[in-house]
Amino acid sequence: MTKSKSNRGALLLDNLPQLQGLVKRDPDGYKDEFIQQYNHYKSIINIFKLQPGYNLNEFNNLVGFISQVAPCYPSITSQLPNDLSDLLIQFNSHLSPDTKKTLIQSLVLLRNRKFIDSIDLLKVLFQLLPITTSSSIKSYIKHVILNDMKLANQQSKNHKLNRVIQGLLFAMVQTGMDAEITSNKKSKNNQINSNSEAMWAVMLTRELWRKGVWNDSKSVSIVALACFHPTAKVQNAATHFFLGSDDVVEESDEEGDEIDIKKVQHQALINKSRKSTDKKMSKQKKAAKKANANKQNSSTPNFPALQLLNDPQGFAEKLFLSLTKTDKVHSLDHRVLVMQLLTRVMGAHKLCVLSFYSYIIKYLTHHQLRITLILVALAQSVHELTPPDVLTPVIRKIAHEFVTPGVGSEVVAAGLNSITEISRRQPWAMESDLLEDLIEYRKSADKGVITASRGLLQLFREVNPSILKRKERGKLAAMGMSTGKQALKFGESNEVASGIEGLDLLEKHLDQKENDDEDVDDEKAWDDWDAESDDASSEEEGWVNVSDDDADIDLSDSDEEKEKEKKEKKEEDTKDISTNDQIAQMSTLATERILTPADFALLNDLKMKAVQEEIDQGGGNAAKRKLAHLKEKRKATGSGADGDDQGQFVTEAEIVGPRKRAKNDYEARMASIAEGREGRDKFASRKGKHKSDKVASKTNEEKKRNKPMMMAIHSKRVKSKSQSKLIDKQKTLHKHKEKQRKKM
Amino acid sequence: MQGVVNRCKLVFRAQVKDVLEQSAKPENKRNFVETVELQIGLKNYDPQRDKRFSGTIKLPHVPRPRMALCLLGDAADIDRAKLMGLEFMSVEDLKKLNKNKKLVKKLAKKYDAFVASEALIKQIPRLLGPGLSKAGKFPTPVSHSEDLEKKTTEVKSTIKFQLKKVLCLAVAVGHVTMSEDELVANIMLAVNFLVSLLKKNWQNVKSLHIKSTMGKAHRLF
Repeated sequence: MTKSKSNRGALLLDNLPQLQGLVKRDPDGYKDEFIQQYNHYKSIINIFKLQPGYNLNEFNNLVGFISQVAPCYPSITSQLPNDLSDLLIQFNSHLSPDTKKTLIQSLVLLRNRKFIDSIDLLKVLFQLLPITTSSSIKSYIKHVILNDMKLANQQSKNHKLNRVIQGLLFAMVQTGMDAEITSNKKSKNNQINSNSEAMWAVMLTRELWRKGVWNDSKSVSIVALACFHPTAKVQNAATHFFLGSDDVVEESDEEGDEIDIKKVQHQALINKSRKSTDKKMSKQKKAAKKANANKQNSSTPNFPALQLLNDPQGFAEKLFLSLTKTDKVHSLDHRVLVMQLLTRVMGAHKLCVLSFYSYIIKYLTHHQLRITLILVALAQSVHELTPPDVLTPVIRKIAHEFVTPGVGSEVVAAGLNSITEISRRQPWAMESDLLEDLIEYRKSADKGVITASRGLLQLFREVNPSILKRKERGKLAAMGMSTGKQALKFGESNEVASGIEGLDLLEKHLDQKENDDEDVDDEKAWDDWDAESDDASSEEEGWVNVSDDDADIDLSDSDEEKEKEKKEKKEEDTKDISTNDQIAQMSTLATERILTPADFALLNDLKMKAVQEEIDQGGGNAAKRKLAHLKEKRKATGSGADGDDQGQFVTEAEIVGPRKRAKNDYEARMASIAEGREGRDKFASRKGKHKSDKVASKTNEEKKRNKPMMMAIHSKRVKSKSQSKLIDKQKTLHKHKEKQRKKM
Repeated sequence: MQGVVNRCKLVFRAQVKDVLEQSAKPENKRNFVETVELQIGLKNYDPQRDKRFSGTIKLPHVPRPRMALCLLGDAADIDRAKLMGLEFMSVEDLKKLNKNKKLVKKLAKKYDAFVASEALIKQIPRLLGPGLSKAGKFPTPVSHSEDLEKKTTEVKSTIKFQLKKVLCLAVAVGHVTMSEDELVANIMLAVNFLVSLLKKNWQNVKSLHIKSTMGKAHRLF
């Protein structure tokens, strides 16, 4: 018996996979064998530590085996993870790539078996990252880190882990910060390491942000720091993160998922239902439900990265400083990119970086490369708190450079459009004499210029008609002015709503309605408003449960008082419709009752009607835009779909304006023709040509089929049939019949 | 007005009454006048996609009478402010700050709101730098033709809704020495206004609470 056991041991020592299976089935029984192997492993490590050149060929298998079964003997192998990570970090240069990969894999395995924490694993990996040189191992490590982060945040946010990792990433970016500034062209070898590290930190953050794993301000601050990294490449990546040029990809992914589920449901309707398909469908349905729930209870808000910046003013000032400092170092494209970011921050947070406007003036020439993007940047930096006196010289410069007879019509259009965009945000920067000149361009010959100039005129008719000449104000603006409508003062914004818009309309409507019939049931107004949320029923109870004891309190707004108020209201209405005192009118309705969802729907309709009237009277684009917006809103509240466009940033198309497409020249036409012909055969008959490209002779079958009739008749095969004896013919017929019978 | 509207009005009244009663208890006596604030939680609101909303509204009754105001004015406005007993600063005073960040921050901290003459307000970013707008206290313009007294009460009774980095907001809508009716009117108006700002109106509201400074929160919705 002892013999057999020793035999078995000897056998097992050679065959690790078999031993692994046995150990997993019966850990206690094979403890000795395991200890033997473990000691072997330990001795190899010790030898290796003494002489780093030691050959570790069979070691890989051994480590694989031990890490596979280590969770069975936690007390014996408690030192294992430490050993492995020490080996990886201290003897990194002596290990072969194979061994390194095995060691990392076994660490990952230990994490998957929950033998070590993911924080421990990630810490080791982060330490390993800068010292590995092999790109395949590096990409493997990155892959592991990314996956691990995703996994750890899947159920709920793992704040502890996130904090640690964010700290590590922040440090990674920070280490390269004090290096000297380099552009893309001339990167130095000794810096590559720290650069790539920072680059990688930005990429990881970006990836996690895109997947929605991280959406807090701390991850934003990592990227914000990277915006000032001396290397252009890192800066570039960080800037793109904020400009959000790759958000679109994520959305399309989601949609793809949804379609898939519908498809599965459809297939289930059509196809035969089997156990496997049913199971698959229920699985997918569950996943979809979960995804939907995640979308619905967005308790963690999903703010855009720009809004989460810490100290935006400081950020913008630093960005501007780096922009001016690196003027000569970086390429124009890079500078324009940074400008875009800077101006978006300025626009989004309503910041004033006054020296930016004097800086940008030097770029404002019509022969400047990327001028449309620069104009876009300029326009989106302006907001209602930008001091008009810094903008006036800029506008003058644009007018001087772009809107002159000496340049092309598209240049004039771009200039006019950008001036329009600037004055839309800050109308006070415009001077009346300049405006007069600019709107003269509406008599130009080019359509783009006409549109741009008219747009400018229309804008000022809406926002500040008083600086236009009397004859150019137009009917509506002149009427508005005569009734005392004034332009918004500096510091007042039309973006900030002040008062419930259109409430006076609602009030009038309700008055009329009440005069018509008194009993309007309000219960209906609240029906079905909250169809989406699940806890509607509990809230309904909340409404009902109030006892009627408090009814006497409600006496304050009894009918008498209401009528009195109504009378007062009407008097007010007749007295000062023209004055802007909406607030006084509003207070009566909005303070005495809660507006129901039905009220809001009615309000929207009434507003739409009013705007429609305005359009019919010839109110400009603003009214049309408003109508479109209201329509969209109605759609949104109806179906629950949200698609509000983020119109806060200017696009290049707005600056360039509508332009007639120029006719292609000869080369372009020929090129497009050639493109259409690509991959097409020469136009000719296909007769006598093989389908496959490979040249091959005809088959015998083919030859037989195509043989001329006269030759076939005289062939022996045909002739012998007609000349054969009757008995032979009968024989063949019999044979044939027999064959047919057997076939059946 | 019947049905649910009435009932929900009753809830409002009951809760407001409760808040007032709580703070009126002798054991809850404070050495200051407690403010009543409205706390709002939002839902189904995606800040990335939906337009960021912000709005100001004038309430019928002043919610914070002890609000410290400061006038940044030219000579004529300063004279008016002196008559009223309103605190003021002239252009020279502002220039003395010398755009010093600490001093501007101190100034912004000292007052709850600012009013500025129309002639002066355009220079404010130049004179003071970003300090005031950073604190969210950029001045409200006042022209010579407007009544300064009226303007100050208007500024005092105006509240501002602005979404910051989280999906909840809070505003002061009154104080505990106000009568119940006044408080209810203020809250109703504030709620109606907020709901009108939201894209999907009531569907975007998760919760509404009112609470006094040191009292318990009472759920309205």
